[in-house]
Amino acid sequence: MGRQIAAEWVKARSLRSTWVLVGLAVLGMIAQALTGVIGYPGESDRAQTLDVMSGSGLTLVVVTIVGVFLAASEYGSKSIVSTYTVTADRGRVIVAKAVVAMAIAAAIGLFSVPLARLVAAIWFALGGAGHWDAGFGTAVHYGYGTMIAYAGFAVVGVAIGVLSRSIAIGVGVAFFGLFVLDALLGSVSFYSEYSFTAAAEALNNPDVHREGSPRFGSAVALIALYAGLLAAIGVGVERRRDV
Amino acid sequence: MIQAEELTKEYRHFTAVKRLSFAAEAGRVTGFLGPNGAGKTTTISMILGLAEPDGGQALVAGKPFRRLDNPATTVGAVLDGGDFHDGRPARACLRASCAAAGLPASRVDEVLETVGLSDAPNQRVGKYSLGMRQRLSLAQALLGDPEILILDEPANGLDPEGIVWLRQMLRRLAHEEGKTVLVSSHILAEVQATVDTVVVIAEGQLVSEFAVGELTGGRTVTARAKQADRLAEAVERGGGKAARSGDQLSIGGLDADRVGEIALEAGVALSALGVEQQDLEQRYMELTAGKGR
Repeated sequence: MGRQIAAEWVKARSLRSTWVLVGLAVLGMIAQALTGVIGYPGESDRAQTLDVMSGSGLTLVVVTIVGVFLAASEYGSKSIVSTYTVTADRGRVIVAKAVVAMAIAAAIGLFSVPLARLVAAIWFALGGAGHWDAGFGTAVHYGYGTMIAYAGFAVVGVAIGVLSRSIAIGVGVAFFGLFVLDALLGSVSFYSEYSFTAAAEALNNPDVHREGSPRFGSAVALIALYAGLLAAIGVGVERRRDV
Repeated sequence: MIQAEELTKEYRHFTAVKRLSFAAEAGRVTGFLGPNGAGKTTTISMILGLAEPDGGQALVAGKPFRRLDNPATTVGAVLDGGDFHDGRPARACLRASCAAAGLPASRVDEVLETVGLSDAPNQRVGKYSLGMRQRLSLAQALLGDPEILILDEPANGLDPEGIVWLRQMLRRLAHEEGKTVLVSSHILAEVQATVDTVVVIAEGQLVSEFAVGELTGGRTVTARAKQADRLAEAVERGGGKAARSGDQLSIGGLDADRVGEIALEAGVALSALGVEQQDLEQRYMELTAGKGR
């Protein structure tokens, strides 16, 4: 399995588009932090700090696209043929892609809180209102919450990429399914506790609990369940399909 | 060795491959020929585990492809003019395959050197010419030093020098290193110069399987004479078979020297005497006439 992960990592890092997407994901986090420090000057410093630290919705979209891209670009370029003639076990290939997408997304998430802190520090240094009001424990909580959310969405992106075999269709399905349909269904009271986007929101902003949304632990379980389930469907379908 | 046993592949509206059986043996270059739509690519896909057969089985080194422990060290494949992402540098393409197969990274430079791409390893594949992509595909196929090579149209895009290089390499790999080489190609003259055995399929079925050496047994003597009738009778008496077309005879079963002697004995003046060797192209055209999709 380690060999396939190494191969997928070589593939991911050797494409410019991967780094462009990583750059967009970082810009998403900067935008989130800037919105936090600039957009809510009336809130308490504590609430403002939590807003600044929370994971970015735009970055969630981008890491999902990273997952779609890592999987679907292989079909568009037909390089999947080379991949499967070197590694016959398609399940291993897909799991390796998911691990790499997850690692990239988690690494982006790892920088979420430090980046937010940096943006806030620059804001305060430039004379912006407020001050940083969060301890180390809170920062760590926000940090790993964001990492889990980003990693889960990246795995879902891989599964969608495998199932769609097309970047355009994959991105369309991911965007509509996760950020339109799921968000709309999240307004239904029963589903709101199980919604994928509500779970991501609970992880991105763990110290602010909204009524009807899952708690942090439930959100971790939901993201893991949905990502795992979709990845398993992707593996199952891909093993039976012709290339 | 590659074995196809009663291999069948059906799609919704047609049967692409129907109970196809053949073998490509070690130490030989086997040509895999057929008209467009004959089922060559589908067959190769099934051999490589890329498509699931609906019947029969394909074995490489005695196992179905998907059951091979480390396929890259058993089978190397060149398909469809190179399957690489245009945005990825050539070296990275090969490094990824090396990593997946557990091969040392140094192998990348070795195979790039072998295929003559060592001066452009960091160029993105999208900037490569078709010929360079073919060479890169070959490099990929050779990475694991596999005992079996499967190449679909490997000469596409190669310049004449590249085609000669490819021919020599494939023959060396088969004859000196004992590898099994299966090559599909439309360049019949090149196939004849490269392969030892030919498998011809059409409409998904085996049409013929023969050694290229057998083609030399298909020689016919041609003779031209004003008294063609008299010569034809003399040839028949001499044990040959003659087919007349105007003043020209196509003669089988006798060599040119004997036909000359018979003409002399019969007092027939020849205006021309020659040998026509049946080539792969003629044989192929006869075998596949009217069978293209």
